[in-house]
Amino acid sequence: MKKMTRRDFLKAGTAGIILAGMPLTLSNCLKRPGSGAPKNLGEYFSFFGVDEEIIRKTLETALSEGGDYADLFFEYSTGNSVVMENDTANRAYIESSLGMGVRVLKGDKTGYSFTEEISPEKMQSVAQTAAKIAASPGQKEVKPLKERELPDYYPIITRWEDVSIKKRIQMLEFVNHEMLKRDTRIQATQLNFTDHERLILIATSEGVLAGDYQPMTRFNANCVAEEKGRRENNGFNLSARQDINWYTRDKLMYLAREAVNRTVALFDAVPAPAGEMPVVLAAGSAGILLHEAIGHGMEADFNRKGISIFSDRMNKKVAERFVSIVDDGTNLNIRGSINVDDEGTPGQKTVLVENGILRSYMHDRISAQFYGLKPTGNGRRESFKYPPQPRMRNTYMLNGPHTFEEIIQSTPRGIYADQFLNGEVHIGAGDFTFYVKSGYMIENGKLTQPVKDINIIGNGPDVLSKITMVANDLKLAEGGWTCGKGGQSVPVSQGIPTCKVSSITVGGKNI
Amino acid sequence: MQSQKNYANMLKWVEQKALKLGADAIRSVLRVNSGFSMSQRDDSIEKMESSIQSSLRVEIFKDNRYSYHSTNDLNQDRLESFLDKAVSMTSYLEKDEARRLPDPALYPTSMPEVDLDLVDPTLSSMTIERKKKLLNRLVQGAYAKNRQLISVTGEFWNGHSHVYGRASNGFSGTVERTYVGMSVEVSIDEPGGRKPEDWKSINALHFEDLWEPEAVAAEAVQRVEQKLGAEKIASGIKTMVVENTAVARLLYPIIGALTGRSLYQKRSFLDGMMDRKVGSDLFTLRNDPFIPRGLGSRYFDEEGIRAQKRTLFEKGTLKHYFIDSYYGNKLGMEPTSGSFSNLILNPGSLSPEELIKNVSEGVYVTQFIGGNSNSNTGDFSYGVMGHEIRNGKLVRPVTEINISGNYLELMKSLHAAGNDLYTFSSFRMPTLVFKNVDFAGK
Repeated sequence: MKKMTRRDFLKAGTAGIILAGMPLTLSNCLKRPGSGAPKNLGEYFSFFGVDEEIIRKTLETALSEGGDYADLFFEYSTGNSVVMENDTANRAYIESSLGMGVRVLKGDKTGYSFTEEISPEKMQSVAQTAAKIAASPGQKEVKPLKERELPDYYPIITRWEDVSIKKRIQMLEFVNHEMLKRDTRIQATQLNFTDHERLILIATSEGVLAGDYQPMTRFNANCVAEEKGRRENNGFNLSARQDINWYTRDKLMYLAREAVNRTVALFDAVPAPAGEMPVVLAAGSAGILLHEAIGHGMEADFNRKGISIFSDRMNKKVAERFVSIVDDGTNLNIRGSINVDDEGTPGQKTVLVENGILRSYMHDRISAQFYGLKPTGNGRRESFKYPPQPRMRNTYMLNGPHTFEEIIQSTPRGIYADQFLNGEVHIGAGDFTFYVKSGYMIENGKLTQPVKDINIIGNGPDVLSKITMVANDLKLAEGGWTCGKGGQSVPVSQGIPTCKVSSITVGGKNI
Repeated sequence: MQSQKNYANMLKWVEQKALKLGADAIRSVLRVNSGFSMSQRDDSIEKMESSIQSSLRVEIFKDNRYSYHSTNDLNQDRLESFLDKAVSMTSYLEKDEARRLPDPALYPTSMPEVDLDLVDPTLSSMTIERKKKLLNRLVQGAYAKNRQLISVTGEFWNGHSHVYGRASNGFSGTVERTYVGMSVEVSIDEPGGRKPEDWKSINALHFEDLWEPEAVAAEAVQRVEQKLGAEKIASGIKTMVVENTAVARLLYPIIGALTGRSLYQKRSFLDGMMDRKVGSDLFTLRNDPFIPRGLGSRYFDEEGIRAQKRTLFEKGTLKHYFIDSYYGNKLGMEPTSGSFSNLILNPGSLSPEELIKNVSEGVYVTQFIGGNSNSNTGDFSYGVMGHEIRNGKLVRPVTEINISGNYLELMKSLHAAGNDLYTFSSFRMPTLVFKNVDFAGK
């Protein structure tokens, strides 16, 4: 059932909720490209069983009611997930999905329809449905179709469909074994190995033709430990647009070690004190602060409508001079990277905040047109079942002038937050939260008592202005983050150097 | 679109094929859904979407091995090859004796006695013009209440779904349901640059159960107006009143802790608590699948197990877990059902206003934002928004504050329940009052 929401949230893969199942075999139906990613547009055409003629005709139908613009989005996705629960790899989830969607724009109005059967007749029929949004005279021409040259931000050697289930099970067994031998307090383990491939082909009435192959993998390791009758669970996960070769022995051992260490460390942790205090964010996934405090508020759809707290702040100072924030689709093999967005704009790096000044929103086609700008490659969609909207990719802060040591030493009393599960924001009021699974108290300039299970709440512009120190140790998140907006989920990443927020509200105990 | 009989026959064919290919048993589910949605922002239609989608899910059981496969490609030739791969792949997984279809004695035996009334036959003939009018009333309804709003977006949706289920040891069932809903999101300007937003969304199976669009709009506008000037309050231990629509989000982790999966994985704070008193006398929570037109109503669950009413907590005492057949086998427990249908927390006799009147110092929580909980210890921490209560009155809107605590303590601290069960959700909850909650603010 549909739910209306402007509560936009971010979730970590480690939260331990089972994936409804992800896709193993390629569908048998389509002509498969050879080994490796499809090399040219011809391979995408033959995969989806279309040609330029059919595409052109469908676009013409889409514009036949007077639309300004139309695009076709073909998608095939397949994913596999193998689960090991309490030492047995006893289930696998395999999903595949195929379809195409037609979008028609008239000003900022969108008509959208899709079909799961890719045939010229069905494509005509959904194009007619989507076309109706326009309902005005005159017809725009479809420009000559031309392939768009794209970069390759996620080169891989082995496609996931060429990897046996046995190989996946061996990795699960290895990590499970490493976890169990690390600590006798481990009582139960849950591991989940997933891989995913997405093939997309985009054709627009402005003549853009682009195909992309997007690999993804994620390995979740979770466990429950028991000490003196008390149980705690935690975990760790790794995710990237990578292939099987990425999982070296060292990487798998690192995954096992982190999952166990993060769990048993909780036995020493206590709830945090309640109230306002300085919070130091560890380098890495703490970039969740940027995603919630400013990222969503900088998505141009909200600004075009004037309903983001950042709507009136373009080119104004929002943070100290040493704060620069980007949203980047070009990081090699990183989870949120895209060679092309889901409406045909090449992946790129967008500067949101430069030396403390707000510089650019994140645009899709509709918002870029509204502002008279070029799209920034942020038009993304969950699947062919949805039209695109402005979305983040990899959002991170650049290095600053301070060091980790200076930041900790400068803090008489506060929290050092180093592991995160999820966050949420209300983009109009600017209020946002993020959940800290584990961290430490800072007392007299030193890390002391471990703390856990703390929600932190603040207001975006207020917190940005309170970033008083930024270190030089930028790190991107290693885990699999998924962002939800308007009922659509997309993979993203984030990063940050160690940085200090001088005051923010920490949920804890009143002592 | 294929006829219903064709779909049922397709599942029969899928089953026969899989068995022939070497599966010992198979469960399959075919979902077909047609949906429509339309949104209007201010004066003009913003988006119109329509679709028909289908998906087939098969679960293969072979030599006590198990795998799950889904596809949206229903072409018969390709399905054959899909099944071939599904069956042969299952052999590579590890054996698990607990993997088998449920005991057929758990499947429905006769036609249900209750008519759940899950289909509104009038919806399919509702014209786009009529939907546009409703949508416009929704948006204009909001502006009629407040001219100062900076943006209003209304959405209307409806759909019709058929689910066909079949298991090779004797289950076969079909569920047809319609759904319809509308929502409105409103934003307002506040001095200082904040632009508080709020929304109201209602869902139902039948059109006539929805509110008039103007009433939905009025509720959204009232909610956003009440946020104007919201500020932090001081930290402290206070009484918390939770509005009926917000209760589901607070109580959801308790449902998670009741599942066989979390018990088997040793990650439930309710492990070992059967027949123990864990909540206050007011904490009576029931699962009722048989509410006519209920959003979670059903005749059988995902495994085909026939639906039954159960009391999960009786006056604070834990009486039932959610056990599906797999985790039932693992844990040596009788399967109940692995999931909930409609959850009802026993209402009280006072209205929300009367409940608030009885609070001298507290917070009326109308919305949760972010936060999470620890499934082993029951510790939680959430962001909240709402109103400060002083001497029985709402005195000012509050935001940017957190609550934290522990579910085992929270259930015991349930002090009162309202008479206002919220029916536009499968969580049918009244307004609740909890004593001694930790609030973190200034």
